[in-house]
Amino acid sequence: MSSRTKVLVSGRTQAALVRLLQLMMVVLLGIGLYVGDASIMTNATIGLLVTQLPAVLERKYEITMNVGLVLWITLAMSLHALGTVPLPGLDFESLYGATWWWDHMTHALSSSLVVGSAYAITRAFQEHTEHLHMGPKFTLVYLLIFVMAFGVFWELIEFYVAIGAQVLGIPRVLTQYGLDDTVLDLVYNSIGGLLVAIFGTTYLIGISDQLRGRLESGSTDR
Amino acid sequence: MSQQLPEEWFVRDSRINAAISWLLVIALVVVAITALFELLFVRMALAALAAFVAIAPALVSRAWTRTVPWPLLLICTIPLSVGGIGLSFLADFVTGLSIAALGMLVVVSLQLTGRVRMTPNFAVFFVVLATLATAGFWAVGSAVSSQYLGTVFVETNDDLMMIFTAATLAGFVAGGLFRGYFRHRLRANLDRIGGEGVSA
Repeated sequence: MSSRTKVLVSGRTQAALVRLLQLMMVVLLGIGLYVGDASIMTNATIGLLVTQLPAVLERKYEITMNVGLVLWITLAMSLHALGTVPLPGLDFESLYGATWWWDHMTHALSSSLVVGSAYAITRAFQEHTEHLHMGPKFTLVYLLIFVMAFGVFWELIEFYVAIGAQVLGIPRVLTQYGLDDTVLDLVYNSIGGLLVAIFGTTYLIGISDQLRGRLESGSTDR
Repeated sequence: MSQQLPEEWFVRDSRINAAISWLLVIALVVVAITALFELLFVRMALAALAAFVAIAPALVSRAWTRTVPWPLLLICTIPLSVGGIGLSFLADFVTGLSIAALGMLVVVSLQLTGRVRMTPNFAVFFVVLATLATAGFWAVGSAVSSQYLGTVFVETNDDLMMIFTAATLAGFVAGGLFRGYFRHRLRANLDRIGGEGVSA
């Protein structure tokens, strides 16, 4: 009984934390609008949109994420959004600019989300069809390949968004800091991905089974 | 395309093809050994992997004539003769195509040894990912190597982004080619068997 109440309470605390972080992003969006900074506005808006995803999945596809997963997503998005805002305590520099580790932390966090999603979806397909099967060792290799490929693709997006902004004369919303930083991004992406691949997969089985359920009901409908 | 990727699409059983493939394998082994002595580990790994995937069908079925098609094997060896990454956009693109081809042969070998099963669509997806990821792993590896061993690496972020662009383009082009080929093979199968048993 007591352990059950503990879980419930911690679940409630987690839900409160999610609301708090979402509120923070609304405030950040407000700051972005107030100072007229396109980068803050864009990143806070995207963050808010992504954190609505669990609710949308629930409403449209009846896929329920447990609150821990929702908190994970919200934390990654809000820390990224927070990093773009100039803070009074840092002489009005952003956390991305003022610290060496913020960028690495958010890269590891975001890529942990990417690998988490990749695992949940791929596992759903594996359970769905007998023609797709990867053992645990190859799954680890696959997830590492996935996170590295996604990292390369993301760096290209950052690069071409910056070029596009330059050509069109609009402010850039994503920043690349240089060659060393790009390589370090890729390394920290892999660390975040590897951590999920090794320790996180058990927490994703629930959501993965729900996805598989959707696949199955989808194929019987047809 | 909800069936397992048939390995037979990438295995030939003819004496001429096998003879050429085995000659290429011997050359690859020589390249791998010389690369080992020159401490060029990426080159060594690439040559060894190409040699292995070429003869994997022969090893699994214990028949020397069963090998991968030699033109495909030749495509996989292109990076060994290009001599490096970042020399020109076209060379990087071709290297990317070649890595994708090697990736597909690795998938086929893994299937033959029973480690992994993939559907044709997933194999294509995987090969595109692997091509992009190879560029990423190469970048990290080369950066570390230039820091500690004094080897060459690109000078600017823009240079690296051009290499990534070439690899990404090559990955998607190769993926498109494979997908086209698979659809063609599936349709040919359907026509031959009269629409039975292939789409199960």
